[in-house]
Amino acid sequence: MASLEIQKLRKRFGAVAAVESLDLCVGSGELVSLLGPSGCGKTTVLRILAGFERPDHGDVRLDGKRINDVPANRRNMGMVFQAYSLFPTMTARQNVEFGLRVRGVAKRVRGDKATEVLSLVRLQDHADRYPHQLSGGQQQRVALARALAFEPQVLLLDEPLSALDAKVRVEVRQEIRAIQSRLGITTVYVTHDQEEAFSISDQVAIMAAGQVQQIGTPAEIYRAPCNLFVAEFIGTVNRLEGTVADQDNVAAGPNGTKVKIPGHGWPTGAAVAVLIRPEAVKINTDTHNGALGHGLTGQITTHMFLGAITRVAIDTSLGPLMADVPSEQALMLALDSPVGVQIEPGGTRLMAP
Amino acid sequence: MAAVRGSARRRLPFWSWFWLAMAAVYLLVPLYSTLQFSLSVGPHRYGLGWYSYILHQAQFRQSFLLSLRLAVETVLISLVLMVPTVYWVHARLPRLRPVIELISVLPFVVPPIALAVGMVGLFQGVPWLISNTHLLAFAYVIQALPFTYRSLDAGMLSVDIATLTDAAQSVGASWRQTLWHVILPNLRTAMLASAFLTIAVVLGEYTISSLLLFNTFAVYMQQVGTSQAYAAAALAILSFFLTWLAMIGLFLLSRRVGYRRAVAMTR
Repeated sequence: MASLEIQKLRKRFGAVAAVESLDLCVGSGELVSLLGPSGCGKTTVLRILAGFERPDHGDVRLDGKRINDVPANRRNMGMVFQAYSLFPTMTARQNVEFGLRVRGVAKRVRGDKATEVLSLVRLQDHADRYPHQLSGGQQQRVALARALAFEPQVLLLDEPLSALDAKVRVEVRQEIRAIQSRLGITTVYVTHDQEEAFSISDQVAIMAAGQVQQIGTPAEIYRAPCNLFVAEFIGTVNRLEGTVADQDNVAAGPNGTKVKIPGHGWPTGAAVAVLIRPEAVKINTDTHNGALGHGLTGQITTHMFLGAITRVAIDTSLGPLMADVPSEQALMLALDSPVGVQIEPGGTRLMAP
Repeated sequence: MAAVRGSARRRLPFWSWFWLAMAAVYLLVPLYSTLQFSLSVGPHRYGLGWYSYILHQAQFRQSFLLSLRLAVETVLISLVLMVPTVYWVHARLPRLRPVIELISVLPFVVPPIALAVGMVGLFQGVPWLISNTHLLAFAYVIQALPFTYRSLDAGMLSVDIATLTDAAQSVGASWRQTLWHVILPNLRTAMLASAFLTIAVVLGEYTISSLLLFNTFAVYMQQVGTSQAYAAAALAILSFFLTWLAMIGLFLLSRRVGYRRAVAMTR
């Protein structure tokens, strides 16, 4: 196991800054995901770690030792690529053995090791197949086995599941996490898919414009985003512009409707962005006891079925709001029907606009 | 609608066969005429007399073996020079690809006579070099460059060279190991195509060898053609046959090498 550290990393391609003063620590045995939109520099960081690109400035340290000048083939880091990268003229076994073969490992030893890692990815029965005889998911599992066969200090994964269909993607990512946990190998995982990153990572680093915006556990990032970019990039959020009315309320939306956010800590009169997660928007259809008359009201405009939950759009005096409701409940919410809306303060955050 | 589709289907094979037949006529009639002419040993008499005559000429054997040797040398020099170059451009310097592509077509722009005259001017002070047949191989490397480059370029484009290189290096392979174990096996067809075209260029090249006073196969054919029409026709057919034989030999050799590599990988 090894720890990985990136300090003040900078990389430009011509006038374009791909990475700007980036710092990142990956603890021993940890799986850290670099998550961000296309072009945010996450793959460049991974390629610098692998030794395929040289940074313009900054250091990459493995167990405290600077490795900027170590060529890619001497870094002892296994990598799985976004594109199918198995060597087409070699069988699955020959692909897996290749890293040991170039190290001069004896035939029998590398054969045993290849069998072992192919068993790890449950492909020991496909050892003699060529890449074109394997499905996409199987190819990426062989690529994972190849990256692990020579027992690297660090495993790098560059969007390894992006070419796979949804069901296989879930299966393979669970497999990656299980193997990573079992071997305890330090891993950096690049993806633009937040569900993927959140489901397998110990820590997630959110990247934008070549910089890490926030790093933390998936739950920390979801519950306490540090800025507007992170809040809007992660999950779905209702964003309203508003002004702080007092210490418990914010006037938001076109009509200055008050939204209760007790103890928010912002000064009165400050312009703020009010961010409300859809799961914090509760819909009340009970018109008895005047429930609809006591709070915010609105009309259902659309339903979006997402499986267990349905995302419902409501036209309110605050503006359009999205609410996640259990799909069973959503069946009872007819389009254009009037509903009461309650916003749970716990799912609401204020940020500078 | 179905009837229209049906008639279109019926018509398609006829036109396919028609154009195939036209192409065959265009290619085979001259070949057949030459063959018939070469077999003519008298009025309405046919035999292998001219073939026997040619095969017994010492100059035929010498010129053919010289051209064959030059073809092998040219293929080897071209591949040793161009495979790493084209690989490096694809893997690490893709921006240079248009430049290399432009350089590769220069032999089409510069006529062979200019190349020959240039070589005479350049090497006339070095008599041992200007009279050395190996010098021709270097000139032929330039002549075959458009074909060599294009075959290899197409081969490199058919696989994701950059990703394969990164993958090989990530598991610890050096540049040499990457080229030898990962890239070359994927370029077998491209290298073979390049070798075939190079052999065809070398066996048919006349201008440079004639101007530099080397008796290559093409020069010998020209000499025979000016004095003995029947023998020249027999020689043309023989050259056609021998060129194909050389290419089939190369193909079989490459398959054997490919098989040996595959066996070696499993050891």
